[in-house]
Amino acid sequence: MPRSANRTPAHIPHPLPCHHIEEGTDMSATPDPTARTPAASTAETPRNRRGRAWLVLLLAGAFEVGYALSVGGSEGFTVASWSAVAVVFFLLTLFALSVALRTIDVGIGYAVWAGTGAVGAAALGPVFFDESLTVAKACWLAVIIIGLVWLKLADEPAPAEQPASTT
Amino acid sequence: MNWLFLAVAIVFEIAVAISASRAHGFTRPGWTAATLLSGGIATYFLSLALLTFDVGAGYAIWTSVAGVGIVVLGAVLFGQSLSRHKLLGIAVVIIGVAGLQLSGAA
Repeated sequence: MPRSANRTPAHIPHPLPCHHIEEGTDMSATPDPTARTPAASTAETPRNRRGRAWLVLLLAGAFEVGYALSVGGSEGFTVASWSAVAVVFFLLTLFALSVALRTIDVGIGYAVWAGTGAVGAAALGPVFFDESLTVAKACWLAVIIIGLVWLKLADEPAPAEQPASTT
Repeated sequence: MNWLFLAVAIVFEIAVAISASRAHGFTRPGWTAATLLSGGIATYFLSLALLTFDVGAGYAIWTSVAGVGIVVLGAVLFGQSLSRHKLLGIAVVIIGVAGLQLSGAA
């Protein structure tokens, strides 16, 4: 008997859980039956949202590094391929910055974006170009990184914002 | 002229951050266009300024003045007044970036 004749394959498990969530849907509005931890089924906490915004902000910094390096490779936008790569990184870094700034204050966001971009470009510059990482540069990199960690810790949401049940 | 170019580059770098914040992850077309346009203009005028400026010093002034301007405008326009803790962190990062750029040029 051909398989196609079986019109009700109730015994065949569906490959995916049946609660399809459209991209962009507010996850907090849809209770997730497969959630294994209580925290995952509750509404998104300010801490989760802020943590994700910081990840996107660091990603923006990484794209900024890609932009800086590809601009360097384009030799004043005379090399077409690297110029095209630079334009792509330019769009990506500003997009990620814009996403992160929905949650993070603009003054903090800009400092972190510029700081991570500067650290990455200084650290990777010697790998790709005829640059050297001097002791003075390394010291300033340490200053930036201390400032970035400080800002991350200072930007935690106030304890009152967080539901008591998550910790 | 190079100071004027640098000033224009700073104004548009501030505009990049402010309009990126308003663009809400590029979901608002007008602010998204403003972000990209400001980014292009800032880069262009910075490159003009750096033709005659010392590159490290030019970058250092550009980032630090823009960083301060963005904090001030964020407070004025968006009501994002920051705690002393956060302002100190921003200051450390910006001083570090400026120092890095100055030492890179030396």
